[in-house]
Amino acid sequence: MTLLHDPGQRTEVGLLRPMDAETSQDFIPAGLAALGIEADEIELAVIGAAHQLFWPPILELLSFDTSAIPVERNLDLSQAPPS
Amino acid sequence: MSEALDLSLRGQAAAIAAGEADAAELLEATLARIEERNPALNAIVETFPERSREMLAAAPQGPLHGVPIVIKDEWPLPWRAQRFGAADMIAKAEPGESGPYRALRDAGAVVVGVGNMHELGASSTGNVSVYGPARNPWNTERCPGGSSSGPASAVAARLVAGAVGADGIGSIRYPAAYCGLTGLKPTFGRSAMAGHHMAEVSTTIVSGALCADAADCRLLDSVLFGEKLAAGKPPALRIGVIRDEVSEDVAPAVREACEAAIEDLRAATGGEVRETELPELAAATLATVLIANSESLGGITPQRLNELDLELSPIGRGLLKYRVLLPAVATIKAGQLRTLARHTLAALFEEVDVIAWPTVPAVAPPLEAPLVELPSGTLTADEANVRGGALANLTGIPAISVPVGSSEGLPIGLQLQAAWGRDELLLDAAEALEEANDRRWVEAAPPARGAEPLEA
Repeated sequence: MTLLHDPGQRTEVGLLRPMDAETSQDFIPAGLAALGIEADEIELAVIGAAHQLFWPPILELLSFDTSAIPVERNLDLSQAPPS
Repeated sequence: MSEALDLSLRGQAAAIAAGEADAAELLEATLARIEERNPALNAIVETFPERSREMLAAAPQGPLHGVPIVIKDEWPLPWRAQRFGAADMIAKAEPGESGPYRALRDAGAVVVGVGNMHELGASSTGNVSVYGPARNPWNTERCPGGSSSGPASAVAARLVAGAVGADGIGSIRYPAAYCGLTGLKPTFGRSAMAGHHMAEVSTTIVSGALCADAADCRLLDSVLFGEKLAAGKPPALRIGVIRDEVSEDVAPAVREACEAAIEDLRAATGGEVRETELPELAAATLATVLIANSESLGGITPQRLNELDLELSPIGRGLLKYRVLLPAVATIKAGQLRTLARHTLAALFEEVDVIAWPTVPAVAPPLEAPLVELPSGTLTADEANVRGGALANLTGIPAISVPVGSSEGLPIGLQLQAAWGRDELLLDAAEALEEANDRRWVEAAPPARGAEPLEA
């Protein structure tokens, strides 16, 4: 019989793995690289500082289920929202 | 030197209209004063005397006939493209007639110079600009506030009596507070925006006036609105205060001055102070930042980001690149939070007429290191300031910063916010507050005008 996969990897496939801290810190260079965006060391330091500031509240925002809040159609910021 | 030079904006307009001041003399005196005082401030990055003289020669008999005005580097002029305080602003910029320019021209005003601004409008401090930072007339080692840094510095030092700024996340109100001025962020859509490079996409940016006091703001904003903003005595104001970090994580002197001013306003109008709640406030701040920073992404491509002018500051380059990493789902949720905050505010404004809290939680920080000391610790000025400034831009409501005190020889500002379209009420309330404190803070002059340092 010929195996089409390596049995040693089976436990890895399709299972959730927690992201470790090291992987999380790769987010910036990996994200920029994936988009084909270059950044020098100073820019990376700036982005890192911004990330440190913005990411915790962004994660908090992402944890909210906002599906019950409708988006205003024809948003008119010069007036109160239609009740 | 023209005697009209040190009059209020409305005083200059009235003196010229009555034939008591000569507009040509006032223009030349203004240009001379800019030459004299601006080198220490870097408030104005360009003058164009011949263009200004041509404007004056063609000026109609409008409400600002012959009055010199500075306009922020965020607006194109027929003879000059805006630079947005930056070596590279991504968006295309070219000379043209912006809405504020047209409004000023049609009112008979004379654009006398372009005001400095924080690079890309990206900070509340004003300490980074392609032209070098503008400086605060109260202490030239301190931030003038941003992003309308130059307009505020120019008016505080009385290079001119009025200036046009723009406010996307507090950018009129922060410099008004830092420089001891009155600055109105109008209801979204009420003031002239045509010609702004983000006019078609931004849901947070508005044009507005920076002046010494509310009456001058009323005059200049009437021109920008294209309608006369009526003056009146405010009703017995129901003043909402929120016991949250915007009013409590604040430097003690700022808190004391603002609480005293709120009590002055209450007493002056025979109103009441009501403690209220705004549970979405903290999330609304992030939502504003996400929305404002996403709306300008249309012109951004990886290739364009890789070709940024290296004269743009590393902070500017880094933040532009970081924007593309912001998750779309966060921006979607930010939009929903905006809806929620607008509904909460609509209900809140059934209970109160204005909401009051400090415009910024501490006085102007040093240009070299814009950090502020708050009860919670040391924060960047931007992180601290945005807490109180963002809500009005997120929801569209008007907001005004009024000078109400001083600490360390630097001004303190109180912010008042009202329901959509109630810009006039804010101006009325600001005037009532000025009268309640004998106009002490709106008439205080900074050392750049040869005055003695302020006492609290």
